[in-house]
Amino acid sequence: MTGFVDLYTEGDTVLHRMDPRVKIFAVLMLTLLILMISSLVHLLILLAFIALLVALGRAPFSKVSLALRFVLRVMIMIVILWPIFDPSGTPVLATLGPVRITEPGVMRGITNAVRICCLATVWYVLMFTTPQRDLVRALVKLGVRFDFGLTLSIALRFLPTFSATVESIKDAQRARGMEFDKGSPLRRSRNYISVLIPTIISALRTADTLSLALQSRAYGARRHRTYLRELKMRASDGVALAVVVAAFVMPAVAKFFLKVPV
Amino acid sequence: MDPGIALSLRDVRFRHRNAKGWALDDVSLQVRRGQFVSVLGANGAGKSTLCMLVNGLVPHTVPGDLEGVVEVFGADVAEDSVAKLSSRVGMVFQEPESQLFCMTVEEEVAFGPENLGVPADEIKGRVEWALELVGMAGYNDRSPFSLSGGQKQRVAIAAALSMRPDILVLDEPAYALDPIGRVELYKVLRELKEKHGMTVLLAERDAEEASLYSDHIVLMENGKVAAQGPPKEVLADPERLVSLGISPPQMSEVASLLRSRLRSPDIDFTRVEDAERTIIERVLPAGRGAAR
Amino acid sequence: MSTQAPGRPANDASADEAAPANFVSPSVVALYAVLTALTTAVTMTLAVPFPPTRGFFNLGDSMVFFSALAFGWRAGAICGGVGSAAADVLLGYGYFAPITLISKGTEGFVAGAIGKLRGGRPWARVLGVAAGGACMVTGYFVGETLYYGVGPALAEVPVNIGQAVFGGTIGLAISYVILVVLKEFPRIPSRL
Repeated sequence: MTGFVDLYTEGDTVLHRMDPRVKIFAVLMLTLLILMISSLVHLLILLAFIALLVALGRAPFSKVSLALRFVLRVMIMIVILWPIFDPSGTPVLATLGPVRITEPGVMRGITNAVRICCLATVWYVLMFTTPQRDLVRALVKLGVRFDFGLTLSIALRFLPTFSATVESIKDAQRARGMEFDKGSPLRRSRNYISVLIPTIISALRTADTLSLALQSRAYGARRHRTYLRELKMRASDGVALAVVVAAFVMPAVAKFFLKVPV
Repeated sequence: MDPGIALSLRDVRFRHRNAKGWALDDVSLQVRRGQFVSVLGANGAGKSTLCMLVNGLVPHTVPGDLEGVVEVFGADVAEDSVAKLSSRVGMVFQEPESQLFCMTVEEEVAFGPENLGVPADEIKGRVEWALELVGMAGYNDRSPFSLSGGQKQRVAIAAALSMRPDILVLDEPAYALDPIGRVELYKVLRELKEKHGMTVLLAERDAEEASLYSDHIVLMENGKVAAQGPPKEVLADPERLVSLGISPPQMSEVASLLRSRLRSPDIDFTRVEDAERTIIERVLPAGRGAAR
Repeated sequence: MSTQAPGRPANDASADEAAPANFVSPSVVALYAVLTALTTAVTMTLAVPFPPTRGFFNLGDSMVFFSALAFGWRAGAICGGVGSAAADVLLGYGYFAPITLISKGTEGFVAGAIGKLRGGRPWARVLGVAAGGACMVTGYFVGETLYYGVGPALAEVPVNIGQAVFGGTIGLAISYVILVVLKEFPRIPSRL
């Protein structure tokens, strides 16, 4: 359960080569589309399309199964609990005291579980195929201030460092006989505090050097800084953009203007 | 102003805000263009403060009272901003992990020139040049997190060099490194000195490498300059170095031993080849003489 | 091996021409980046198993509370919110990140704002943590209801309360210890 995973996997697929701005936009559009669709059949079609994207991105099996484990847990929870709290409609399938399970309730539960599955997998596709630095770079190009983007990218850079610090301190404490999975809540909190404090101190030390290093490398020297790498939109990115916009606009028009159920 | 002088400190004193003692006390020294100068001293001798004085972190970011004059290529440090000085003074810190803050080696090396507004094509050339120089070519897309300590420090050097500084300041860069990391690092520093004529100010507590590369050595103790001069003179007395908290170079320890054993005060060397010649010429005949 | 450096345009002159950028100060960038990374790292790596359901708490909230109590509401809101949302994105639940951003950001904001009342007296801090935790639990309940329905959202409420209590206790304790340590870092801006 512990341990640091980076979902991104190196590759040279269509999805890897796509402009990260286009990918972020596409994921946002698809998210809206998934939230808009209410028909189970349409959601399943969409899910098949997203599964195709996962295959296109050539995500390794280990990471896909990690993702599926999380999604399945949430899906099961929704399928079981949704009907209990949504007793509207007929026919009634079962009655248990005050709880009434109806067929439409069950169907809505399943639909929602599939919707969550779609939502989660769309984001997994993005994370499987986009390195973190491209996500930050895209955000800056989309208008996030450079210093805010820099702060975020520094945070992501030190994420594995601090995760490793946490793990190594935890191991050291464990070697001294400290148990993290047993004991009263108070005792456990004390044990976790003994891990967090050295981690925080080492992190603050890092912050101290970091601020000196930033200044030594001319941070903020000029209002207009240049960039070694710029993001470039290519024809294929334009096509992807068009497809995504069409995929969103057509059902939206059908639903809100033509009143066709989707 | 003499254009040959890279760095000049005259009667410099510095006290950290809220501190009682002087971190630097009456320090005067000069670094000429192209010189390799080492500052040796124990923890707390004032080496870091001295290093940070050169690019203006002291007194601009690290607050305190500064007296005396610090000039970097004729410009008064107290009057320039760190951002402005940073294009002339390259800085490498002790901690390998926390001074690299970008997601890839390439971004790390490009960060400085980007901030200075250097055009992208030019940055590309500088990145390749700097990485090649420190022996890290081809590591462009690696995360700094995945590198060894020695590699990290060399990337830090490249990140300073890409701003094309006139002087490189290194604050105990080998402190956290293993022996292999040290060797790799000093190989780069030697190349910078010999092939590129870079002006270098190096803080160290181990005199071994400093004895080989330095043109001038400054010994520091409690913020004061204990001695300065050419390496041969300054490093001649290993016991004095130990008393200052500095690890003496092995060769000067050998020389000192021979001086007292052979009772000949003229014996002096810092390089292995000289030691070998001295031993062949003076120790071996003496030994044969005794046996005869 | 090229020994010749590529031609150098005048750094020196160009630094004069252009005015310095009005960026956030480097010490703030460094501190916020580190607090954000700590929040994300702890959220992703420190999970506490708890017996009743064999589920997991994560200790991310302790870092949100710590940031808020030690460095003020701004740090609490930004580092807590962004750090926790980043953990969601990196773990692949990006669709949930906006809800986390708002819930944990509010948690940090409220804890920091209330926690500093009367110069950060102990009661103010406890109150801040309690109020912040309540905001987080409410925020997640609303968000989960939107995504998962009332049932699963209700089922998560006790877990989130446990997480807030556990994280709050630890965050409070740490904020006191670190305040003592902070004196050794004169360059870290405390209480922004």
